[in-house]
Amino acid sequence: MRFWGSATLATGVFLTYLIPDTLLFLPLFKMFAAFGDLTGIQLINRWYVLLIVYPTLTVPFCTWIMIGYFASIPKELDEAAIIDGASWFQTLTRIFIPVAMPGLIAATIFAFTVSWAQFLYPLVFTTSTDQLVLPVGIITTLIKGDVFNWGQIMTGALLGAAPPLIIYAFLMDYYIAGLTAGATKG
Amino acid sequence: MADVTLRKVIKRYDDVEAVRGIDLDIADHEFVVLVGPSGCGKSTTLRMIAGLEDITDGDIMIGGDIVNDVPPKDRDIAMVFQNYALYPHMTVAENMSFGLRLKHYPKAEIKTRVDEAARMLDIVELIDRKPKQLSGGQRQRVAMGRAIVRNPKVFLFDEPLSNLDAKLRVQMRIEIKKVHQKVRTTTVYVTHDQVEAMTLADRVVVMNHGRIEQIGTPNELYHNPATRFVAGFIGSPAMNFMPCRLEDVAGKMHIRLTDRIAFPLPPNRAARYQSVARNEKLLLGLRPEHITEAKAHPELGIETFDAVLDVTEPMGMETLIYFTHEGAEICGRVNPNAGARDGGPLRLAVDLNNMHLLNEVTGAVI
Repeated sequence: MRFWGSATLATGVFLTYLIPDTLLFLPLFKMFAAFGDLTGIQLINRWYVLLIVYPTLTVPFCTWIMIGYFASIPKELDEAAIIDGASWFQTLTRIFIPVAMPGLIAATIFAFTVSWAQFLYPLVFTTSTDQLVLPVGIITTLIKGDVFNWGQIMTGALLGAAPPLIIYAFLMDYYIAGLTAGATKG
Repeated sequence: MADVTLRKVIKRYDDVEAVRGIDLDIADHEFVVLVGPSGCGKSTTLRMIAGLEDITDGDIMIGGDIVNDVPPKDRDIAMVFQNYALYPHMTVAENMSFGLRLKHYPKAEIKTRVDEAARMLDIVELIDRKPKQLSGGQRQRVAMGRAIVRNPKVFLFDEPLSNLDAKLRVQMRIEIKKVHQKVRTTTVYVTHDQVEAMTLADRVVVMNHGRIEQIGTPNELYHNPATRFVAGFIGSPAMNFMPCRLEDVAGKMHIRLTDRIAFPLPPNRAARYQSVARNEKLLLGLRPEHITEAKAHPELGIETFDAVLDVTEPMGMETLIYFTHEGAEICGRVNPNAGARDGGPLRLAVDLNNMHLLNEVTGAVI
């Protein structure tokens, strides 16, 4: 897993995470708009544009967590597998990924939470009601001027909070294990 | 099974030369131990044989074939690591069979080999457990099992007992020796513990600063060390060194330690050292067991002197004594009933029949 420039790449990934998303959405929006003009494929105001946008937030941090996690796996494990006759790909799939599973789960939960709770990007990239995601939809469609539909807003909030709650309840231990592993070894 | 040959093997990391041109022939079935202090290049040498480190120059041959550029998986070797390196998500059986499964061996044969190795190592009842449910000694057995089932040409051990407590280490040492007696696979074993080296090896390779200091059977190294490093490294407690020179008194060769202390040499030693210049700076090397309590009847080559002991260490079957000679601490071994006590005087005897004479400048044993 060690290759030329790996340390520089790790630092680079971390630095990208330090750039605030509020700085990123303007150039991103312009990029997608320009892409639409060039190719005729409209991405703005489509829910699936968020599939492309969210990784700009989640990938750097998840990579950072996983770098720490993989670094905590002793190199002898890798060497034992090589001597046992495993190829690079077999070492990855049969040793590293199973061993790093807590870290992978932690990264997955993190990515899910960040994406699920995202407000700014969907607000900017989607506008029509049928394309809105839940957090933005609650605010933009259930508050009309100074009229707050409290009952519906609260129902929406509860529905929005349910999936992360359920996931955390079952996978919290992994989440903490993953975060601490990443933290101490980073 | 195969022999292993190293020809002028060099390993350089940037400016640092970790291994400086090693020549080593390891015969088929032989158990060779590489021993030396930290940073002497022994682990690097082992890793080069395994293929985990590239060699900068020279040749490594396994079974007569040059394997310099052969990847580890094609060298048909098995390695046991210091920290066991068991796959934590697999059971003992899965750990042991991993290499065979990768090579698509038939299931029945895998089972036979795993069962056989498990029986040999006495881990049959652990076969379905995960590594974290095992003790250190059990883990090391599994790591050995993983090596045995593959039936490789060469076993490589990288300080496998360093993580175990003292008692378990002795026990596992015997286990390793028994396993080698059964499977007879060529073995290269790295350790910094000279006791492990002495007890396990057919031949010991003593390394220092990336070079081989001496190769020999444990007895050869102990009784006929070639250099001061080997003389001081092999044996516990270590050999004592005292500055000295030779002189002739009334036609008899003497070894002079101080202005007051000079001992006549026994005839066989005197003959051996006849050609040594009389004013040359030398070191007298004496193992602790050759500094003992004085006996009632003098024997040829045994000379007596009085010492005031600094510290005594009763070991049960013997007592280690320490006294100061010319600012250096000297260790001897006496009978527990010899009356040695901290700060007390004791009449001691040196056995010059078993002395070593070294050149103080070059460190070579004369």
